[in-house]
Amino acid sequence: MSEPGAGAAGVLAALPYAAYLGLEWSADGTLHLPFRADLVGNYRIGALHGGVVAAALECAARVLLLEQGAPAATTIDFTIDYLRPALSRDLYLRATALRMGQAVATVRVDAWQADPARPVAAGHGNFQLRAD
Amino acid sequence: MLYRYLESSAAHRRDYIASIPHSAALGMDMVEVGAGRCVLRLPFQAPLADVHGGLAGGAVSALLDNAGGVAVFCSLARATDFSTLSLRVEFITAPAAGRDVFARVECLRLEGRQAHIRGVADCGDADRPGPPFATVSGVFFLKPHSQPLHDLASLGNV
Repeated sequence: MSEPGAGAAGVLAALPYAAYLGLEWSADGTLHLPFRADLVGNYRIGALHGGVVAAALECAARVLLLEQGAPAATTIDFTIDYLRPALSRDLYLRATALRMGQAVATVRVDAWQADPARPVAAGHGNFQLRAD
Repeated sequence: MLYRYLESSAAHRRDYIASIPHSAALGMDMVEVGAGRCVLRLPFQAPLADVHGGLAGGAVSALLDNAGGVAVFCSLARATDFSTLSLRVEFITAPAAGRDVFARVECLRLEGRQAHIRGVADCGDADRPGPPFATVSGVFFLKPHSQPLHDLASLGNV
């Protein structure tokens, strides 16, 4: 793809839930989820909702697959490990395709906030690339 | 058992969801609770729809995560803070276009600091489950020495 940034922006627009969450493309190839008060799950410690983290991870995987030319990909399964509390601040995500097969792709996603070396969550999923 | 607090009043169920900003923003609805189990509903809404016309997978994951948390709450004897340690969602198919999604989740067992949940999501009705389109399993981790989010003392008496 000649302009991955522009492609990713189009891809994000094609995922309404990603738009709802406010996921944005960063120039360095990561996805960026700006903090918003309605993304909180635990107001006492100011933690992001576990479902927001799950959805952001899954959206990042879907964006990667769309960029890789698999627009019809559907999630077969997605597993999230919550490693640290995701606090009231921006979240960053990077997806990696472990394998792009004919029928199935396997994707890993890492999410962090202040420090990429201290991830707050890790996702791992299998995606069916075609309906048939 | 804490579930009686939620079971006893629709206002208590609404207050619980209202205390979780993202769940309130998505419009989640606690339909029913019992000992160690719950039914949550996510109303269909176009901004949360996927290309297939049904609610997006991420929104379903958020609902299932939240339902897991409610199921754990409904297993507790006293208010205790907890958080999701791991969550796995398997999609058999996409949710039906234009339909509400119901999460039916139970806490299989709460032992020490671990609570294990299992459940399904379907597009049936509140009291009549449809065929499941997704399954969930997960582990929540209890934090017995921290201040609980849903402290009954601040919510009112059981």
